[in-house]
Amino acid sequence: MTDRRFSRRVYRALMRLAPNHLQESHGLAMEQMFADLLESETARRGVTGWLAIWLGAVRDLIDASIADRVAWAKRKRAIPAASRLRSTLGPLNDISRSLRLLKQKPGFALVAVLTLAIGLGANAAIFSVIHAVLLRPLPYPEPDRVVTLWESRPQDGRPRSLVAPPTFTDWRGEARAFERLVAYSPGNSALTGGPFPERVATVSASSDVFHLLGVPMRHGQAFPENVFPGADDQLAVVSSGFAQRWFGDPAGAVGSSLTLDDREHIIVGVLPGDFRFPEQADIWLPLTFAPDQLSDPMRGARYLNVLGRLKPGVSVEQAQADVDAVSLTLGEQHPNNRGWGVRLIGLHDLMVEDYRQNLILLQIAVGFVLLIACANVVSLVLARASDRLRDRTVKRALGATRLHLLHQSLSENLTLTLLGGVAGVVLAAWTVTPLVRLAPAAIPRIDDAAITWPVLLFCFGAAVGVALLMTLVQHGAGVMLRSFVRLGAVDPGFATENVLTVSLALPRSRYENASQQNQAFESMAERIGRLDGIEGVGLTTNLPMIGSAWPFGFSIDGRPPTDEQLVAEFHAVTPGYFDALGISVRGRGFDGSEGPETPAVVIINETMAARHWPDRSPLGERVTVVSQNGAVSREVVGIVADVKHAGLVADPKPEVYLPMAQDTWAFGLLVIRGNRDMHALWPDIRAELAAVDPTLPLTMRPMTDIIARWTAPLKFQMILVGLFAAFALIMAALGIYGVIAYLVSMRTNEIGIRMALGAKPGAVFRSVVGQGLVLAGLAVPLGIAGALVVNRSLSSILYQVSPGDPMTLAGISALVVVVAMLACWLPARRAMRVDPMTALRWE
Amino acid sequence: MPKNPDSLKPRWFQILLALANEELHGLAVMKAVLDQTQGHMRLWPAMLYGSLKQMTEAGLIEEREDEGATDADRRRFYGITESGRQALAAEVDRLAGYIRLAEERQVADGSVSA
Repeated sequence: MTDRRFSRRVYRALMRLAPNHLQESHGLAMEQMFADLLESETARRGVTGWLAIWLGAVRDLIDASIADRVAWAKRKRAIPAASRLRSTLGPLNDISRSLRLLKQKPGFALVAVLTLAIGLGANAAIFSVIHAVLLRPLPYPEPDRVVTLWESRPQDGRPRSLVAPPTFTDWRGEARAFERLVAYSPGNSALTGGPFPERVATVSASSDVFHLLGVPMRHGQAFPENVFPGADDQLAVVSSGFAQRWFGDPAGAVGSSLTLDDREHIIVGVLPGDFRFPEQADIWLPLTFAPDQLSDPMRGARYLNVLGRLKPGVSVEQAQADVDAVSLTLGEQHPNNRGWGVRLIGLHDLMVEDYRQNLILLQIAVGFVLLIACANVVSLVLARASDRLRDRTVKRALGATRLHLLHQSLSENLTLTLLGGVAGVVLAAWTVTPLVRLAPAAIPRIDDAAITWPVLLFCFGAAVGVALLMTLVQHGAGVMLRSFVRLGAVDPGFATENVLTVSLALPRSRYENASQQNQAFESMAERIGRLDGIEGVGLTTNLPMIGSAWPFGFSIDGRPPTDEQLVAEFHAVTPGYFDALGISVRGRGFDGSEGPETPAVVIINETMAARHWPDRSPLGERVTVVSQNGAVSREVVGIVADVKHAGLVADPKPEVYLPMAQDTWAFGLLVIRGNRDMHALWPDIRAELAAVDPTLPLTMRPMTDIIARWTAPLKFQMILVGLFAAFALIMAALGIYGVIAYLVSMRTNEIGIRMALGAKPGAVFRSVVGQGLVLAGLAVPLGIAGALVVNRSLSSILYQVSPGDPMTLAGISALVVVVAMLACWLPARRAMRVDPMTALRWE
Repeated sequence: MPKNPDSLKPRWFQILLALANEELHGLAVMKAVLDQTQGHMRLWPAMLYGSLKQMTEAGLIEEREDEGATDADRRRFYGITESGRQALAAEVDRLAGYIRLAEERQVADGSVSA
């Protein structure tokens, strides 16, 4: 069991307190015995047993250490060492005494330690993720020298664009700051030869990509450094996981062949299992360029990712200056490069940029949780301190100095935080693994999150940072929670429930021309549309949110040509597409009569309409869209609502939709909407598709899965923040309860006297509850005022929630009152039943 | 041999008592002591093994191999030595002396006069 192993690890670390010679000779036996005790007592008495064993064991180690040092001093009769001894023993003695005190008040100890454990544990868990994702260097040699390069045109809102092949080869030839530059492009291919055809994720990359990264193969070899088009580009490198799945034996994969898109590829190497790259892929193919791909017009076709390794000693700034100069020259030579610069971003920065802010936000949120925990414990300790006032007065009368008493409470607090830290780390060790499973796979390197030494150090460092102003912060946690709820509820702009997508690719060998392709697609759509329970079927080249965009050039007929090429995201769709996704269209739209011979038409989106025809309707206007058939002038026949194609929070871009019948592509995504759970309809759909062509590889994905890729990180944070905010509220409630219950129990004596003097139980009850409610009544307005102040500074990181959100504040205030009433009610009931004699004897 | 058998520590006495008739491993010693003191003396790991170590060094007890167990889970068993037995007997005698004295003064029925 994780906890058992973990408890042993912590105990082993603490064993350093015990004398060295004992640790060496009996350490293992002690650890074993501790683990046995912990297990049996936890089984017998639950958390109380667990805590008792931990308290006892820590005290035992401290006592052993003291005894050993005293024995040593006696043996040596080392009088001069005696004073030094006292100073080393002092804190240990204090802690040992504090533990004894805590054992006498197990209820208090339990609440305080658990409260701190939750606070510290939450922080340790999140920090372990931050450490794994943000702080650790990438697993390549000298990872700081690996950078990404982008074409950039910030003046047009395109600060970071992919790179065109001719531009890449120019950079590669002329930039001096890099040891290597490579390009890659993610894609997918149909893999045949297995039990059934499937689509696999691929990355096509310059053949020296692994040389650049400095990653050796697990088996076989990397691509040769230079691969020539047509000659030997049918090589492949595969991931460890794929080799295991496909061949059963990674080593045996080398030399085997794979059939990808009907072409043979020979596997030359298998990547190591821990290989990490921005794009996940099963199969790597060498990327080569045919001469026509490097022609001048291709300078506008930006689709490559580019990585570079800086030469030793070259800084990112120097490299930036170097490529700036190169791109300036290119801009002078080629119109398509004019106005385009280069942007360098460190690979690590790029990989974490989407998550950095969120993770830091989370850490701040759990930081608040910790502060609340601290405040609660502090208020509990204060309640106890007033309880011990009499004890202190006596001690002072007996000559204890104020400093001495201060020292005493300090060591008690330290003991509590240390225990809370230990329990918190255990808690974190429990939660990290499920947390990581909850996380979207896309967060790079999150799998490596674990309780490591830096995390332990962080946790104990955090244990020290205790503050007092925390009633305010519980409101902070509440407001943050609502912000995430809103983010998860952003409307994507199209139907997602009961929508299924099927990705199709027609092999050109059997579907040679557009009319054959169209016919196949049309008959599929028609057959599926006839099925019972189907409400809409359509076909598109690009699904929303799938993460691929096709920026195509266009111009507006009748307007003078501009310096800058206008660009819109391209889609070819069938008439049923908009209906299948529930996207509304203004104007005539596509009605199914479109064909190669009929007038060319186009539908544009609201953003494009608003941008280029701000003061009138674009319906009836003509735009020329450049597509596979060249530039064709088309009449605008419809305007569609904006769809979140690039993720939930990205702003929509201009888009054009062409009828598939006038611009046919050999592949597409079927979008099918039904009136019930689509998994039930899938066998029927598959049968209809097979009736058209039984050999097509199909990939089915529910639309909700595609959306999940975007919402999952948000949901993940929402769940986390929700959990932690809930913890925070529970702890705040516990804190309120603890303090009020304690105050009431302090009044037992007084209540006994009152009852002995004839007070009615009902009157006692009212007085106790009244006291609590007065406290709560004071706390709520103070808390709200505080929340307004604190949240103002939070507003920059909150999404669509105004600081001082009335719902949140009202909800939490109500909760505080309810908790306060409960906290009064329980002890008040006890107070009513107090036997006056017992109460008077109460110390 | 301990230097002064008269001052056998209570912990040591209880451990010797637990080992008087059988060899035990650490956890079993702890349990035996807990039983024979009606739950009043719980020997935590460091205290227990610290005592066992010192008592071994003093020659009162010795470690025995657990025959038949594999290396992986071999536990250390402890048994009493001849001098341990003598020390225990001496301590029992000493305590018995106090008991006799108490009986002579009729302490046991609770009617002690000041």
